[in-house]
Parts: sequence; structure tokens; C-alpha cells
Amino acid sequence: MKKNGFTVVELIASFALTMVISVFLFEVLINVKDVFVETAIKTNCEERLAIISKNIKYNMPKKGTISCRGLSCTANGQKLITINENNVIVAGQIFDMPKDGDKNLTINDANLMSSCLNDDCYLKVYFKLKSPNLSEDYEYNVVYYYTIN
Amino acid sequence: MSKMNNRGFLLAESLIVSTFVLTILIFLFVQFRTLMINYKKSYTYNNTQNIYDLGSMADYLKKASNPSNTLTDQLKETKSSYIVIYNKDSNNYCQNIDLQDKSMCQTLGEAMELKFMILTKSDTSTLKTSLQNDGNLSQEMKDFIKRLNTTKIENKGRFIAEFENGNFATIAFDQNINSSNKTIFSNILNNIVTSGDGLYKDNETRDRYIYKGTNPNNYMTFSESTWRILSIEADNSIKIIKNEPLNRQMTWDDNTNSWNQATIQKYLNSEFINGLKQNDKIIEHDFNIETPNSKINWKGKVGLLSPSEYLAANTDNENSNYLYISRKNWWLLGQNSTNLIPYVNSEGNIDNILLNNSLDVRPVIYILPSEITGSGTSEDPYIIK
Repeated sequence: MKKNGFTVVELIASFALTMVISVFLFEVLINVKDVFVETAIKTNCEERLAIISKNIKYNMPKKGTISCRGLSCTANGQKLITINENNVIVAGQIFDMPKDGDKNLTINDANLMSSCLNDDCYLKVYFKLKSPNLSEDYEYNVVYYYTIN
Repeated sequence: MSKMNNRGFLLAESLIVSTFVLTILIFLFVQFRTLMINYKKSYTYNNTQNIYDLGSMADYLKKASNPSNTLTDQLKETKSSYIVIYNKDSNNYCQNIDLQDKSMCQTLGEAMELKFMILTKSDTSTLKTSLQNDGNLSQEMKDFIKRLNTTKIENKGRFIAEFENGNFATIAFDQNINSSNKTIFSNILNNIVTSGDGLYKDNETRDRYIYKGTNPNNYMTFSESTWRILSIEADNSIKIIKNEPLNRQMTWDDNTNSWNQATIQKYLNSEFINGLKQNDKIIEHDFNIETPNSKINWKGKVGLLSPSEYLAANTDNENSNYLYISRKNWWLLGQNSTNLIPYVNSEGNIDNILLNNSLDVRPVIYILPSEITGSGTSEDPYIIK
């Protein structure tokens, strides 16, 4: 008897195997795509926040005090940092948050605090950046040390 | 003769194919998982924010460190490959290191959510080899240290820190300059006081120290004469004043109150300084000429004491000033009007006098020693080399 084509069992087994591999690869592909998008956003955030950090550090007073009220701090009477919904202003220079698609990332839960113990002081700058493409909020939390004298 | 049933697969064929496919899937899964772990780690290692946090902690530790026993010195002396600076789990907030003021350590660490921090040598190879037997460091910390690829710089250290959110960061610690220069003054800076006669920390200028009191141990022999140390400056120079006035009295000038053009200045910076031995140790430095409303900066080698410096040598008791010399009137560095110059009168008070009067002169110079011996008493004055 000649044998042409596949048996039913062979077909079912092949389909099953192919489906398992496809589902797995599809899931990997989705994850890689998410990782790619998240990496792009995080890299932009890192770059922008590094520039902001550098500017804050550069404009920290050599002597004197920093006083903070709400989302704004002044150093020796001059404005040092102000946090808005989509940007951070450091010594008059505006730094917009990176874009996620067409819109800028929004700043949430911002907090500015300056505290001193004798001559030793610090300025703490904290805020979160939210985006639907980020698996978790991107936090900015940096402490800058300075002295009164 | 029965027909052979030839439907389906042989059991062996099924097993082989299944094993083969399963092996590939497991391999891909493991590779993908490793990729995801490394991707997540890339955002936890040396994050920019944590580096700035660590920089702030380093600035505080540099400022608070004991000039005669810096962190770099302590690192050289330790037998271990690192010193634990901060450990939140065991409430160790800078307890293992010698600092002049430890009060800010916990506050700063909590603000930046620091969990654990060590100071090690800039060459991390010794630390890496000792990791296997180390029970103090967490496995995650050890993994981070193993990945470090740093440049070895002589006499410098490295901070390595773990934060509460699982991030790690490392920065080089630059305390080489303070350590090597302030060790020259270690015997002097061991005796800083907050009351009575002695050496005080200057509250207005960081890393500056001034002598106060009736008769502190700040005697120095320089150029075969007795001088008194006024201050140890932040730039590591020493400011000294001649204990006894010059043999001759001098006028400020006949016409001008400008220090730059005054006869007294020209004499001090030519004939006087050329007659000093060890004048190679005298450096050019900024002097403040005090006027009623401002300070004029003058740069030169020999100057005079300013009114504020004379007053700064008092302790809280205004009558306790080692710079006072009974029955002597001597010039100060300043100008109060066209013809009036400040001076210290025979009662030890600051007053003004016409510039063409003859008064005593007490030169002030800055020196840069490479070595200091002695104890500063009048019997055993400091001697520089």
C-alpha cells in the first residue's frame, strides 16, 4: 500500500508543537518591544536628569542658606530651583522633561526640602516621572550637601 | 500474514523530537531571563543620581574629617581591605571612622536612603580577592564589586555604596591634598580648643585656624627672631607676626595714606625682607587693607596686622590678647581717612593717628613650611624647615 500525505496524528502533533513555539516567541517579542520602548524613555530621562543634577550642583551656594517653600527653593535670595508639571527650572534655565510619544512626561509627587544641622546642610530634590510605557515610575531622588559657612 | 500498522510516530521519534524542542526552549528562556536581569541591573548600577548622592556624602566626610587623621590616613592604617563607613542594619553611622563631627552622618544617610557604605583603596584588586571569605558584605554588594573596573590612583580611596532601593554606586575619594599637606600641621592641629588660650577653628573660613588668648603656645623662631603664629590658613600657609617691633620706629608716609605707595610698605618689602634669613619660605599673599566701608586687597610679601585680626586674637575676655605689648604704639594695616591710619595704642586699644607720626612696626608675613618641629612654647618655639 502506498502512503501519500500525513497521518492525522502527525498533523496534530506538528500543529501543537508549532503553536507552543509561536506563543513563546510571540511573548518574547512583546517583551522585547516593551523593553525597547522603556529603555528609550529611561535613557532620555537619565540624560535629562543628569544635566539637571549637574546644574543644581553647579549653582549650589558656596556659603549661605537655601530656603524652600512649596516647589521652589532660593539660595541667598536668588531662585535656585523650581519644579513645574513638565519642567524643572534651575537658576533661570528651563529643562523640559523628555517626551513619551507626542507628550512630555509629567512630574508628580515633587518635594523640595532643605535642612541643616549646625553648619552642615543638605537640599533634597525628589519627584516621580510617570508614563504608561514605564513599568514603574521613574524616581528622581538626590541629596546635595552644602555648608552655611 | 497480518498487515503492519504504519500510522503515527514511533515512540522513539516522538521522544527525540520532544527532547530537542524542549532543550531549545529552555536555552532560549535562560538566555532571555539573563538578558532581562542584566537590563534591569544596568539601571541599578552607578545611576547618576546615586553618584551625586555619594558625592554629597564624600563632601561631608571631607569637611568633617580630622585634619591630623584623615580618612586616607585611616585607610592606610587599617589591616582590612576596607572600612565600613555606614551600615543602617547595625545602626553604624560613621562610628568606625575618626571625624571631628559625626552628627550629620545619619541625617545625610537617611535623606539619601543609604543602606551600606564602605571606603576601600582605589586599587580594588585586594578587595576582590578577599570577597569570597568576607561575611560582612551582601551577595549583591559582592556581585557589584566584582564588576568594578577602576583605575588605580596612588593615595586615593574609593567609596562603594548600596542604597535602600537596591541601587549601587561607586566614586573615587579624593582626599590626597588635605591628607598630605595638613600632616605638616598635625602636631599643631591636635590641640584645637574652644575656650581659653589656644588654637581655634575660624568660624568664618573653612579649614582656617586662629590663635587667641593671653599667651597661647604659638611662639615660632624664624630668621633668628621670635615671631607669633597668627593663623594657619586654608591654603596651608602660616601667617606670623614679629613678636617684638622692629628696632626703629617709622612713619606711615609723609603724604599718602595708600599702603601701596607708603614709605613703610616699600621699606618692609625691600630692605627689611632682604635682611631676613629663610626669606625663601616667605610667599606672596593677599592682605586686606581695611577702610571704614570696604576692604582693599593688596598682594605682597610683607604687610601688617589688620584691625579685625587684632580683635580676633581676643578670647571672650577682651583683656586677653597676646598681641598686646605694654607701652608700645604700633601700626595696623588700614586707612580711615585721608591722613588717619589705625594703630594699637599703649593701652592695647585700636585708635587712629596721623600718618606722619613715628610708631613701632610689627611686620606680618606668610610662610610655607615643609616641616615644623617644636611645641610652640616660649622655651621650645616652633621651628620650620
